[in-house]
Amino acid sequence: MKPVNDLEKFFKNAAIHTNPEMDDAVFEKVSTAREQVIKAEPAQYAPDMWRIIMKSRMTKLAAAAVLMVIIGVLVYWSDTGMVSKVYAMSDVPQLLYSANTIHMKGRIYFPAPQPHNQQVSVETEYWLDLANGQWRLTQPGYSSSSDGMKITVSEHICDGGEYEITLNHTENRASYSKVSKYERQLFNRRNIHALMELACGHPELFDHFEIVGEEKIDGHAYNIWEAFVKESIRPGVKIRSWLSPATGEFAKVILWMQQKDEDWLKCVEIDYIERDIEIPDQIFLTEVPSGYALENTKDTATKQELTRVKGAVASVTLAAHVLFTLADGTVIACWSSEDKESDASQSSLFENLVIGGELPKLPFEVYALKSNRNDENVTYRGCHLAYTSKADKFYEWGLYLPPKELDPACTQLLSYSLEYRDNTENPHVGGGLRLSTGADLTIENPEDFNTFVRGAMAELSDDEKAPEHVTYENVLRLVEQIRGSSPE
Amino acid sequence: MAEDKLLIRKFKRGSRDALRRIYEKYKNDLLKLAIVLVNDVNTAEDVVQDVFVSFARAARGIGPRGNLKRYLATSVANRVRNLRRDRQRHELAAIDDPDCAVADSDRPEQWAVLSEELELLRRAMAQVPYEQREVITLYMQGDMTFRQIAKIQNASVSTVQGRYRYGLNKLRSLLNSEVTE
Repeated sequence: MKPVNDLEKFFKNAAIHTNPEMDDAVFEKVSTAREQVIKAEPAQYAPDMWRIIMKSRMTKLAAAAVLMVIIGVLVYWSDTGMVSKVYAMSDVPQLLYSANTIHMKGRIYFPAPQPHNQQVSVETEYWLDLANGQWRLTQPGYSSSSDGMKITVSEHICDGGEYEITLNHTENRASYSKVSKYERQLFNRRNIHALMELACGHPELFDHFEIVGEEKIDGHAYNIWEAFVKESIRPGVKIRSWLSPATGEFAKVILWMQQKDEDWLKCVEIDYIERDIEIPDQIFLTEVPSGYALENTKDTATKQELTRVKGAVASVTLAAHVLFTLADGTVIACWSSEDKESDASQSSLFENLVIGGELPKLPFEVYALKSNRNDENVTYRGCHLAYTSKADKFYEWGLYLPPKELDPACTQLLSYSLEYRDNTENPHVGGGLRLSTGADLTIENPEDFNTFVRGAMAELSDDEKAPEHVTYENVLRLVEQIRGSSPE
Repeated sequence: MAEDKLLIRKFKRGSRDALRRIYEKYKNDLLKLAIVLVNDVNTAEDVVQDVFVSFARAARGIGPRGNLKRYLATSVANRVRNLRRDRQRHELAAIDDPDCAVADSDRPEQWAVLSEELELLRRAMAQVPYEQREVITLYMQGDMTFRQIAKIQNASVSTVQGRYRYGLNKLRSLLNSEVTE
């Protein structure tokens, strides 16, 4: 054996292995010790209301689906001043991963265009064949401008293949788009994550979930549960669920929002929830109905760019493509900004960037994210992590750190606003863009990091590969280094 | 580390999976640390098992912040110190006999399996004075700073640094004499 010069290396490399059977045996002792403590102190570990609700498979599904509806509606009700894609609504089928089929119906209510006007409501319906990856979602959309309020009703239908058809029933138009495997994975996981947040994460999401009454519907007794979404997340949001104590099934779910100090206004009412039904084949047909103008064909269908939110000022665009929250509240955000009038490549802006250093000086530079956590405005300062490029377009992957560690974000309801700097030669005047979006997922382990963060990087890269240095451990290490302090 | 903080949170909420993850993540490091400190595989295994059992019982007392590995490494070091004190009190020395663990490989229910390098390290470390051994081990294997080790040893930082320097010199000499034989 060679003489030992580097003792530290020798020490680190001196390996030890363990006997797997003994590993299990020792862990059983450790776990038993833990169980004894839990039994002795039951209150500390008692399942909360949501855990009880979620023990029923049906309840899980319905609650999750309803959550998706709610999230979608909250997007309509948020006055962000721009129209963004409502991911959550179209993600519903992927969420309900463990059911075979589900059918839900209800109404979505939109804000009245003027004070004292009547609210407008539109039917919503979901057909989900989860086992075969098919869906049909009736999804109303809403936009408001000086011309008044505009409601569009669209249907998204996927027959389980790589195409989705979108039918715009308001304008009798139809179009096909491709959905990648990664997107399916992300949508699926994002919605599972939302379900878990609902099931296990209520301390951050809800205050005081409690029974406020009882009602008989079609001869069956239901408890009426009521909760308020936490003020810090989304003020003035109330939900009521009619839950059967006997079967754990929902009869009805209603969501209200409070507009300033006015009365509570109904936003969503889901009053028909059925599962494991046989869905007629024609529900999932991706054929164009007669009388609809077809904008493209399956052969010419393209895949939409991964985008959570996008906006433009004159010729300059800014888009947030995906956002991931780490367990300490740090956000990895992928964004891009282009000047459509410029033909110059952005490659030089990404040369010599330092990991953990300054962000690229794109036309609009997202230097920070802002959010409201636990009644506190939090600014997440950005630094460069990596970049990818696809089809001559460059994507910055920034790392955004809150000033202190935070609990993992409730990703679906917590919204981040994009704070950007105008680096154009002639900075735009005026109010600029107000873009905000939630995160896709909270990443808590290397496997998810590889699948979703690195997967997204590969998706937005010509060579379909993520930068090698972007690993879970490296990012966590970088975060610690940037914070510059390891807590004692 | 962010993952650890999340694990602690989940563990405090009663998650068996989080406990299992913590156990899997740190058992080897702790076993290695304990073996080098006590120079006896059997005793080291008992120490690490006890540390994990105590950890499992002490959820309430564990803060969400702080370094989990350091917490566990300190627990091992404290337990070994107590063990040494008890043994000295009862005059059951033998703990630093470099050959005392030789028969361990034949034990029917062996938990830890040492590589050749670790076996070499164990034998050499047994000949390094305990205070120096503890500094080297906690610094290299427990990810601790000299200031933190100074607290454990109730000594000044400069004393701890001196122990580290002397210990390393002795260890290097012992290892090199052994590897060149």
